[in-house]
Amino acid sequence: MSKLTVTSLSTDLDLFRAIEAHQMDALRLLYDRYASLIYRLALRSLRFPEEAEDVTQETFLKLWNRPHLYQPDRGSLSNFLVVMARSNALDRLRSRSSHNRFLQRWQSVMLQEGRQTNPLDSVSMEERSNLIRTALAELSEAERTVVEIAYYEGLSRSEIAERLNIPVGTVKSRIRLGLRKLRHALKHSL
Amino acid sequence: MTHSNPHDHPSPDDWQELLEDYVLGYLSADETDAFERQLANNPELAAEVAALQESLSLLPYTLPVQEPSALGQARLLRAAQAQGPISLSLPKDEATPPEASDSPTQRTLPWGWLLGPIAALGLVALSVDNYQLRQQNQETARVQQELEQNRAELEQLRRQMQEMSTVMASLQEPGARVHSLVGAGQASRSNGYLVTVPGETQMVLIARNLPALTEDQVYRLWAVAQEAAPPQYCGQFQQTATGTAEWIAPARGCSADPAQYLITLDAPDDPLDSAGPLMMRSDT
Repeated sequence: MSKLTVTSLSTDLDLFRAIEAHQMDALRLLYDRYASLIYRLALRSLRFPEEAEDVTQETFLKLWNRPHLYQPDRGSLSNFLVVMARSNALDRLRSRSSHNRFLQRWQSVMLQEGRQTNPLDSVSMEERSNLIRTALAELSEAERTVVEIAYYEGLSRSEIAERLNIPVGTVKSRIRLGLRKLRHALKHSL
Repeated sequence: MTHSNPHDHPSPDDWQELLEDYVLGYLSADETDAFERQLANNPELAAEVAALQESLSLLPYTLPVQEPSALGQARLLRAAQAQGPISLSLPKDEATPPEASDSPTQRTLPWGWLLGPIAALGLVALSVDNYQLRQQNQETARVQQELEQNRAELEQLRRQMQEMSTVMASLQEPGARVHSLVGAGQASRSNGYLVTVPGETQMVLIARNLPALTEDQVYRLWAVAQEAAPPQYCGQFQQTATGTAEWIAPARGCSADPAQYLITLDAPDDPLDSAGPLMMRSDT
């Protein structure tokens, strides 16, 4: 099999195909592209740099060892990495085994079929950052706070209510409204 | 969160809550299974779940830029090399054996019986050559990989040396004091050192496992001159990725060998007459 040519300009999908073919340079390029994002996410959830480093390592290593877990027609590679890293980080937070939970969560998280390329593949990191910042601006500070606690720390609605000293119903409505606004703001981008 | 009947005629409101619970990871394993069975039969809902999941996965892009250790890449590549050996199997198009030799043309050749073994020998020779070339190529790739890893490690060491130069300089100051710090509260796994020079206002901290801060958080250093004395504010800081920090204390008294140093977690504009949770203290 001829070696796939990959560079820092290759799409995520091209890098993934090369990783499937066990090309180490593709893994290096993907790490260069997403390690900071994964590390930031893990650090925000876990707070300890050493543990965040471990989550970052494990995320990329899992893709390398088990590339079949990612199916390009079910979503973007960056989403796959982020979902995997978040699951790992939250499972560490909850001191539970991550493997089965992740597999369950990922394998059918995106069931739509036939989408060969993901819009995010052609959007630069900076553009993605701008997209989400613009979308988050639609949320009130209170909505953003509960969504971020739920996302990064995995706290339940009642745990968030307890922490913020507000009724559970308020947390529920803020999460719902926050997610709805986020989804609506990104509707034409994803 | 538990749902008594997650898939028995749910209302639109129930669906919405299930969807939220699913993407946020609130569902139990059984509830997840039940919801995924519903997703398999409901492409519209599945598409909505996918889109919401993609939206949420953009959230980390808004976090302050933090880089993992530069050694991380080399560590990953080493682990990948150890765990994911390069496949030696030939791809299908090269590995497929020639068509079985039962064509009429071959059968009519008088020395056909001889061609088979010769061709087989040729193929064996070619295969050996091919295999040796592959081995050499893999060896070359491995050496190149190791060189890249070594370069990355050297680069990281160089950066760490630069960062540590400040620390080294402060340690070389005549009369420099090194105060051992231990973690407390949320930072109970932390430890480190505070370097001060009596009469000087420069403070240098070297810490391990000190929780990383968000943009709206700082650590504050307090000096307790003697037992029961009120803590004196000695400046605030955020540590680097390697756990070091350098800042200027507001008063020379901060370095006058107090009975104890305390480090608290605060907001940058918190008033100075109170302190947030204790994170580290000097090991007296």
